Amino acid sequence: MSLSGAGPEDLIRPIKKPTKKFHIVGALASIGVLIFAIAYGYQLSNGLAVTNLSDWGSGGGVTWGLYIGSFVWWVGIAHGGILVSAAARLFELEKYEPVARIAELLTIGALSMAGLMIVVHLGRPDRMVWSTVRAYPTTVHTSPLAWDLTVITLYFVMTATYLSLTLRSDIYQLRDKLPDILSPVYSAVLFRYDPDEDPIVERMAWWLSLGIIVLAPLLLHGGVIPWLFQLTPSMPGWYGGLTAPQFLSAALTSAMGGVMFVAYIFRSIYDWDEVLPDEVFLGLGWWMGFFGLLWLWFQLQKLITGSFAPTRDVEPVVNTMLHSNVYIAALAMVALPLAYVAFQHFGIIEFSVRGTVFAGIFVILAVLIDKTLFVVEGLVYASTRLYENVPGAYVPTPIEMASLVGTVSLIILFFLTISKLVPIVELKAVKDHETETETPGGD
Amino acid sequence: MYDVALAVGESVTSYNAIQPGTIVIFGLIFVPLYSVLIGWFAGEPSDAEVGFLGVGYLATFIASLWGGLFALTVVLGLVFW
Repeated sequence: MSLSGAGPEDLIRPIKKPTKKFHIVGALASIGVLIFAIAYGYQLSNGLAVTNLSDWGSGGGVTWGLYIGSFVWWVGIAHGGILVSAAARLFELEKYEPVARIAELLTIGALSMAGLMIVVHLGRPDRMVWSTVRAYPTTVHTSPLAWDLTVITLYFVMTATYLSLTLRSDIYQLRDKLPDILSPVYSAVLFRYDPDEDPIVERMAWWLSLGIIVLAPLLLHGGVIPWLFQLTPSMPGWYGGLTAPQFLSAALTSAMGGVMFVAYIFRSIYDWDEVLPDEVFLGLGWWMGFFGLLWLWFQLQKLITGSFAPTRDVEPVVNTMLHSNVYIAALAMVALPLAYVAFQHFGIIEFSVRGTVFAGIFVILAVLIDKTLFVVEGLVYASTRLYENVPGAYVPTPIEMASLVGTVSLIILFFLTISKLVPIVELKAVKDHETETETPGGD
Repeated sequence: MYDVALAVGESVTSYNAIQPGTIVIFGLIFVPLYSVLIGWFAGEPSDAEVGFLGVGYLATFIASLWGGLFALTVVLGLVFW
């Protein structure tokens, strides 16, 4: 890999110089947040009923819709982040070091947005924390919802600790190049810092990587998140062990798309072609395709099992999927990008960073569609037949759409803000490659 | 009967049995965290002071996450209810 053109000065460019593109992206994101604020304010003033999600009688029995679909989607995107970083550290995949910190920040931001979707979905959010904490000693023993909160908290704090520890050395080394006005921030980050701690902190980060790489895929998005659904036998669309690997593959493919998208935005805004080289996008695109292939394979298993000789409960769920244009579109939005990145790798078509990033955007949207359909169909086709005669059909309201736009805008603002405070590419990603002249090959 | 208690116990004290969450959360899900903490203090190289700094980070982030969320809900309560 040739990163010889990039140096420490390049890494602090975002902190020093806000470009015109930076202001344009910031202004658009601010408008998105404003739309969300208005919509959420309206929902709080008039109640969750404005979304048709607050009862069993106005949306065909659907009380979990785009909000919960988006929650699962955001948690999935959060996965790739830290996994890319942890894998780079554990398996010494130096190729991905330039996107490691961006990936960590994506985890923090996306997990926060997932939490926000839960808050937004509550009819009385003011009661959330107190009710949850007070009931926790009891609910943790039997409630997958309580498990969910526990593990997301654990994942969040482990990621934030990982990020904070690895940031200390970089801030120390770049301190004289960073703006004085932010001194209090850097002093806080460097609390009791001693350069001799670096090898120990490096090892601590390694241990955190090990913990996270087990926790995130196997116990969070292949664990407590799908358990929210797959442990419910009265919802045949949700129930079953295949739900967990399906969730995990969807999370990982969309997460790779998410990391590429954020990295591409920064590459464009700050002309970071040398800091975030083509090889990174080529590699992330390949992994996105691989996880997308797994996701399609799990879909195949579900469709074949549910259509060949299904039980009475399962039959309508899979029948609906097979006849849903939106679902078929979601399959295509993963399959076509998969073919695109595969053709690039096999040299059939020329590699394009922009094309790969766009392929990633399609995958991200496909997973959002799939997750929302999954949540909704599980509720519509409950085997209890409790909601069989409930009128109406679920369609996401503009209020819900505005919240989704708001969370996307918030994460953009989060990245723009954080890029003004600290280097979002690790110093060692440049240092490690300063003397390198050749690409180490495809990892 | 023991299996039923594991699956559907309605409260911690209603059955004299270990509930599933006790095993799933504290026995399984937390294993990566236990491994990290053991590695920080017993692995090589390690230093107790830096290890406690890491523990401090973990505790601070838990407090700030739930404290921040609590503050948000209080504000929402004051404004809208």
